[in-house]
Amino acid sequence: MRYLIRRLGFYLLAAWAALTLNFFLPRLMPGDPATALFARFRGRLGPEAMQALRETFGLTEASLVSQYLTYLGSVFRGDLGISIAYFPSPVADVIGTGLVWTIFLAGTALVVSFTIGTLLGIVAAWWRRGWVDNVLPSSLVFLGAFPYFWLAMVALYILGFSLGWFPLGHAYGDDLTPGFTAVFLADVVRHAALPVGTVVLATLGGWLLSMRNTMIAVLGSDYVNLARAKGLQPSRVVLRYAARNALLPSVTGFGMALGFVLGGSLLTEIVFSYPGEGYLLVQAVRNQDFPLMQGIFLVITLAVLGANWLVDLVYLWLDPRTRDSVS
Amino acid sequence: MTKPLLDIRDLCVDYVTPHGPVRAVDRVSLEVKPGEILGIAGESGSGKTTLAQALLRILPPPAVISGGEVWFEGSDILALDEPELRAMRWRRMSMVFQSAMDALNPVVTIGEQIVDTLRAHGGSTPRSARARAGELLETVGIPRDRIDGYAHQLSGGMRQRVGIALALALEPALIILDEPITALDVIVEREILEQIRVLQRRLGFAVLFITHDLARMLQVSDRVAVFYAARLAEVAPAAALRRAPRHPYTQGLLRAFPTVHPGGEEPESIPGSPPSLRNPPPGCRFHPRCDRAVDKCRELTPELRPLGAGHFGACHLAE
Ligand SMILES: Nc1ncnc2c1ncn2[C@@H]1O[C@H](COP(=O)(O)OP(=O)(O)OP(=O)(O)O)[C@@H](O)[C@H]1O
Ligand SMILES: [Mg+2]
Repeated sequence: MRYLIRRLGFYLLAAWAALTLNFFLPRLMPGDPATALFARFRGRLGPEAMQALRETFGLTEASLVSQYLTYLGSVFRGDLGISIAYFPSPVADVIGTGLVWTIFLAGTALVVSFTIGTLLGIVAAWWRRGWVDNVLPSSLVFLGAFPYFWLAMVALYILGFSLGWFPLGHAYGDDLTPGFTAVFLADVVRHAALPVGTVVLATLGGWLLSMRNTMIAVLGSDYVNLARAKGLQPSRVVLRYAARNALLPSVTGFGMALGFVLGGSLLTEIVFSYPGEGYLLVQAVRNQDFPLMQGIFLVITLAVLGANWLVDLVYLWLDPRTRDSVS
Repeated sequence: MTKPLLDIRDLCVDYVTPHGPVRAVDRVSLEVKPGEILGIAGESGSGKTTLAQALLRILPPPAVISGGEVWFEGSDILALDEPELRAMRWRRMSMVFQSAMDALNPVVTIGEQIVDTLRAHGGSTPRSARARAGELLETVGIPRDRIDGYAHQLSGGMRQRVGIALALALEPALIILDEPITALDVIVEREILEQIRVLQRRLGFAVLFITHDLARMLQVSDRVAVFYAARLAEVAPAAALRRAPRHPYTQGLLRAFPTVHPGGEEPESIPGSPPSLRNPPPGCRFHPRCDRAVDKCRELTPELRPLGAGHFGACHLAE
C-alpha cells in the first residue's frame, strides 16, 4: 500500500513537471511569443481569436507567478484554451473527440495484437518446432520489418482502393449521424478494420516472440517440471504454471505500449485519415495551432504516466513477489 | 523374497547433444522393495537426477530413454501412454526436487499447489483438499496459516518441507528424495531427515534417497547403490557397505567422509576427478583414479556381479 502511494506521488510529481514545462516552453521561444504569434496570424484571425490566443498563453501584463497560477487553475478546470485550427472550439473539446477515436483505434489494435500474439507465443513454445513455431515467428517478423507506413499504404491501395472491400478513410461514413445504432457501429467497425488490421499485423510478431521465448525458458524450469510430475492436466501445466509466469515480462511491454498508444498511432491516422489524436496533431502543426499542440502533448504525457501507474497496479496483482518487497 | 516395488532393468538415458549422445545413465539395474529406503550415492554429474527423472518420465529434452525397462507395480513405466502416466505420477510415485528454491511456482500460493495436486487425482472437494493441504503442512512442521503464502516468503528449509508435504500428499508407494538436504544447514538437515524417517515408518512408503553425502545416507538407508560416471559401482545393504566396501571407489568415498569412522583417520579424498561422460575412459571407468588398477581394468568393462548376501559390485578385483 505504501508503495502504491509512493508511486502515485511520483506520478503526480511527474505530471506537475510536465505541466510546468508546458507553461514555460512557449515563453522560451526567442523574442516575445505574443508578438511573434500575433504577427504570424495578423490578417487571418479575427480579434476574438487573438484574444483567445492571448488568454491561452496567459500572455497578459500580470507577473509570471500569477500567470503560472492562472494557467494551473485553468488546466485543472479542463480549460486548455481555444483552438485556432478549429476556431472557436475549445482545445479540450477538440482533443476529446480525437481522444475517443484514438483510444478506440489504437487501444483495440493493441489489445487484439497482444492477446493473439501472446496466445500464439504460448502455442509456439508448447508445440515447439510444430508448424506454428516454424512458420509464424519468422513470417511475422519479416512483415514487421517493413516500414509500417509502406505496409499500411499497400493494404489501403489493394484492399481499399483496388478491391474496394474497405473504406479509404475516416472513422465512419459521412452520411451517418453518430449514435449507438447498429448501422453506425457496424460502419465504425468497417472503417477501423484496415487501420487496426495493419497495426496488428505489424506488431503481432513482437508479442509472439517475446512470449514464446520467455515461455520456453519457463517450460524448462523446475516448477513446471514438478507440475508435470504431479500428474496435472497439460492445460493446467501450460496455463497456470508456465504461461502465468511467462506473462510477466509481456505485461511490462504491454504497459509501455499502452503509454504510447496516443502518440504512436500518428502514422496510422495519417494514412487512413482517421480523426484521432495523431491526425489532430498534424492539423495543429499545419495550422500553427499552438494551443492545440500544447494540449495534445499534455494529454500524451499524462497518458504515458497513467498507463505506467496502471501497469504498477496490474503487476502488483500478478506477481506476489513485488507485493512483499515493497510493503 | 518379496516382490520388488520398483524393478529397473538395464536402463539407459542419453542426452542428445549436437556433438553426439552423452549417456548419463548406463545400463543401470536396481530394485526397490516395498517400504525400503534405498540410498543412491554418487559424485555430482554421475547421473542421479537423470535416473530419478527417468523413473517419473519427466526427463527434460534433450534427454531420451534409450533402453531398458522400468517395472513399477506391475507395469512397465516406459510403455505407459500420457493418461496412464498422469494417473501413476504422484499417486503412486512422487518426488522431492533437488532445488527446493526453484521447485515451487512463484506466483501461485503454496496451498493451491498442494490442492491442485490433490484435485487432479480426483475424489476431493475444494474444501476437503484445502483442509488436507493444511494438515500436510502441519505434518512437516509448517504452520497451517502459511497455506496462503508464497514460496518467496519461506526460508530454504521451509520450502524443502513444503516439497516433502507435497510428495506425501497422495500417500504414494514410492517417494524419490533428490538431495533433500544439500542446501540446508546441519540442524535443519537432521530435523528433516528425522521427519522423513518418522513419516516413512508411519506410512510405510518406500524411499529412493539420493545424496552425495555418503555418511548421512548410511545412517538413513537400508541399502545403498553407489553411482560412478553413469554406472553402478556397488550395491549392498548399508551395514555391509559400511563394514566391508568392495569397490575401490566406495572405499575411497568412505575414507573421504570422516564421520563414518568416528575418531578414525583423517579424511582423505580420492585423487583426480570424475571422467567426462562425453568421452569416458574405456574398461572400468574408475581405473584412471584407482591405485589398484591392472591391465584388465583398462580394457574390459566390469559387470555388476554378486559378491555375497545382497552385495553386488562392478570391479574385476573384488572376490
Ligand atoms: N541438457 C544436458 N545436455 C547434456 N548433458 C547433460 C544435460 N543435462 C545433464 N547432462 C549431463 O548428465 C550428467 C548427469 O546429470 P545429473 O543431473 O543427473 O547428475 P547428478 O548426479 O544429479 O548431479 P548432482 O549431484 O550435481 O545433482 C551430467 O554429467 C551432465 O553433464
Ligand atoms: Mg542431481
